[in-house]
Amino acid sequence: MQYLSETLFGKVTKAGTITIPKKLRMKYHIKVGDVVKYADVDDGIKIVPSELTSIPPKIKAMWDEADEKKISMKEIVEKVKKVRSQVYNEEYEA
Amino acid sequence: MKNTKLNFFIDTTVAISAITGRNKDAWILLESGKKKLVSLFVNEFVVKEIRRTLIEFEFSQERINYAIDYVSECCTVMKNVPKAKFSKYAIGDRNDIPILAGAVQESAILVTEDNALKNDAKKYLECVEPSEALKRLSI
Repeated sequence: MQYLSETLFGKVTKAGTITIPKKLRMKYHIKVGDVVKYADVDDGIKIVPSELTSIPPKIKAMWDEADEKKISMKEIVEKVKKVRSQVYNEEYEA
Repeated sequence: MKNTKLNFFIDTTVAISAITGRNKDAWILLESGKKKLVSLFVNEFVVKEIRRTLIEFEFSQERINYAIDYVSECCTVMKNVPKAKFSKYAIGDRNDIPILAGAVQESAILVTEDNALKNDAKKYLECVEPSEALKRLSI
């Protein structure tokens, strides 16, 4: 493992947020929207890229397709409502 | 953080928002189930709805099959609650009862993106959005 030779600093804002320096974000492939884990260790706080953020390629492909189709949350709720009525009738009224 | 005490029942809206990436919190919740960090449940009714909804959105059969396999890997798929047990639930939309009854049967917290269902279900169990579920798990 090649460590960065320089010491990097961050400033805590009023809201308690800090910015992870770009060099570290790039090194650890941390992207916007990723989740990181904070671990309370002997000499401070360790920030670890979460394993939960590695997206299976087939799921990522579906996310991209949903982007192309401009599927919104509102649309999902509406479609499920429509489908739910059909599935209810098939499962419980047939 | 491992949390084995909380059970969550995943509504179809949450499964679809995770699979399509519309809500990353929903996806992280499903991944947490896959990694056995938490117990997630759906029932056969939800699985059927997932398939139908993805057809409505015109995903290919291959992708739909993958999505169903993925959800089955993340969640335990339970049998549907029989209609005979529905009479104790008085909610706005009777079509939501299979979801509500499924969650109650597993003594689970219902996770949904549907505000109407969330408000209705509160009479019978705890009901949250995916972000709130993650907070409970400290993820």
